[in-house]
Amino acid sequence: MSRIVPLFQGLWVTFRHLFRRRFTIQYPEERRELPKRARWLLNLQRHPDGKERCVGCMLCAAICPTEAIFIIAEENDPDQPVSHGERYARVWDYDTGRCIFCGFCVEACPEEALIMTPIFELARDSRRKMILHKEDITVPPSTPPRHTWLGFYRELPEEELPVMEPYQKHLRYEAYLRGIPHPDHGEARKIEFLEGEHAQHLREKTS
Amino acid sequence: MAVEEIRLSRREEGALERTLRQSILFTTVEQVAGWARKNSLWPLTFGLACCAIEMMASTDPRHDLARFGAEVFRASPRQADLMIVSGTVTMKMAPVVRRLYEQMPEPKWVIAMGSCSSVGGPYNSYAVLQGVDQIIPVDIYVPGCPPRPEALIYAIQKLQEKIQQSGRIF
Repeated sequence: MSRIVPLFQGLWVTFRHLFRRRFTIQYPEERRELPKRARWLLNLQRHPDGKERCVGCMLCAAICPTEAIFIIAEENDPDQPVSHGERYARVWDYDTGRCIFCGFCVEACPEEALIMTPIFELARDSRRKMILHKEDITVPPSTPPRHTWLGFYRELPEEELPVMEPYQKHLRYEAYLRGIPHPDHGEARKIEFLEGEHAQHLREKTS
Repeated sequence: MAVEEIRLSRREEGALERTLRQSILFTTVEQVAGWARKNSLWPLTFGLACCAIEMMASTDPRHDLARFGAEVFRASPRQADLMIVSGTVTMKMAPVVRRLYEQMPEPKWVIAMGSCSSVGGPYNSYAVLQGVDQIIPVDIYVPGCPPRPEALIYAIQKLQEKIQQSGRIF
């Protein structure tokens, strides 16, 4: 008897789990919602008039810790400029194999040409295919400008994204990172995310 | 054994295999064999660095790699047919990786998981192998540092497509 009782105790636990909610995410059909600031595949942006934002300053390539970005910049043709600056990136190669998705390039970019998208399915069957070119990751010209500011802001509605002064943008960015509501657009990020003394301090400071 | 000595040369297919591949009977058998193989991938229990944590996470109940028949991580290379190189391959580890690969029975496949094993990742130094494909043939590369468990599952699905289409019996 002393051996049979533990057996049924164990089976009872198994039986109870039959009626629990299913835990598995059926991945290819069903996807988990990634965090708002998920950092995956880079994406090059365009101005609302269709011109490329990238001006070929090579700051992203300079800051990249793995040298995953390779740029050849060229002077713009005055008649048919590709970007609004003096130069544009003729070659903008991006090695997804090297990239560690740290987001330094996005922070370094002075033109806000780069964002990080939540596209993580990047498996390829050769090393060469992992190197993406400018055409692969630039949004098409007809695409409406959805992500005008850093990728961090992509959850904001489009009317919230006017042409802003650089300092205001900086304020918004700071506000977003710290969870401080900004007067322009109310709450940048739900402050309930934060807990403890720090959150209390922030609430007092902003109320 | 130095790394330079163990770089792989492409194996030439035998004449018998070429002849058999052209026959009608074996094209059907190939499809059945491919179907059986792709749905019973047994990976090798083999983690080198932080990517191995995500590899383990892909087998947990939430992601459940068992849905694709690839959950049986074998502790012996003799019983495995998929090697997931998950992590940085240092020069010191490279001969071991190569030996484990050679101990696996044919047919066998390799997934290079993460930046480090794909191309060397952030460690561009004398101590780190710049891509595990310098010593063993890699079928699928998974970028990421580390890749999400879903990204690994996506890679395994791509590998399954490749196995189905490869059409090898022997």
